[in-house]
Amino acid sequence: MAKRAPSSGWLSPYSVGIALFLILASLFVIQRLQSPRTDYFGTKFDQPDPAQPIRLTDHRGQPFDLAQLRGKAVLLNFGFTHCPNICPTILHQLAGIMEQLTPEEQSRVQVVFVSIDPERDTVAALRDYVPFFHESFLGLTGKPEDVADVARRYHVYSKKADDAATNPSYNVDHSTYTYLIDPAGRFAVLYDDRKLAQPGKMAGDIRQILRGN
Amino acid sequence: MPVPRRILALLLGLTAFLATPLPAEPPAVEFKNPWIRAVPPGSAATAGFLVIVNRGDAPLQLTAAKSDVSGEVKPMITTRKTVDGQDVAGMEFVDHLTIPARGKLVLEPGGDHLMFLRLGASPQPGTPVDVTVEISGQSFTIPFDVRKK
Repeated sequence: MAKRAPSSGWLSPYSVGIALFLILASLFVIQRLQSPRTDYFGTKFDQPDPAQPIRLTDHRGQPFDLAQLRGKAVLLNFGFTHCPNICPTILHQLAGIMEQLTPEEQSRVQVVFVSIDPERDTVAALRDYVPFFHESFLGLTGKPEDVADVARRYHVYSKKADDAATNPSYNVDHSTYTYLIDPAGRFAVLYDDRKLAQPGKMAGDIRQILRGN
Repeated sequence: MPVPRRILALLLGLTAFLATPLPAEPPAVEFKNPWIRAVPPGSAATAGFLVIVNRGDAPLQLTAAKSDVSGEVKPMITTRKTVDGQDVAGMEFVDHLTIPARGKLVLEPGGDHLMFLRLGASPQPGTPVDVTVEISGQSFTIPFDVRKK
């Protein structure tokens, strides 16, 4: 009966197998570390088209042009100051996302809140409202036709309640997406408002965009 | 005819038993984590949130609420619709919110809530606000924290 050769020392088939596995696993890890992460928490735009222009007035009464923010990642959201639930939730969440970032990263991120209710959201109303959530946030308003033009370009749906003409506390139904625009001024990632509840993952996407991946 | 001592003892014991108050029932409704969102000065409205647990076998209804900080407090739902392929959020006042039997009603940011309308001075963090809620005919006054979050 043939005797199996005794396996000698560390060159046994088992050791060789383990060594091979370790080498392959290391190569896989190195490859993963070197290649950019391409998965995003939000919905990545397939085409990094230039973000639509925005020229409105900010909450300090200064003219605002989105092109001024080239070099920064921009989180852009649309809402109205009389919105008691969804908009403050989103703005508090955006503040929480900023807090996940280092001061250096924060200096390269700008949150912009565009009012879709310019009739009530004057510069003065936005001045009281927007910095309450975070001192760095910018609020924008303007002539109703200019705001409507921006909303159309960003595919924002909004509809005032039927009693808007008679009820000064009227509600506005509106879409609740947040755009992430990259430092080159291109559409990068889109989030529905439920995603904003996860600040760590949001911050991960922002870091990735800041790195230019 | 003299009452036999045994029967007398039994009657006395029964009287004592009936006179003893029953142990208190655990409350059928429990309130967890009640809070109101602090809002910027001048805001006309804010929202309040809490979880209401119903330990009973019948569903309950939250029908009304009031507080000193606002002209009105109303139950409100958040609606989610798809319009032209977009998620659209809206709000609607409702007559009541249901707390299911042996279940709970969760009022949370971005969802259903108590709407505080015609706010007076803005509620400040650190100063709780008493809110009275009407649940199926019973009133409960609960202190709500004020939080900036």
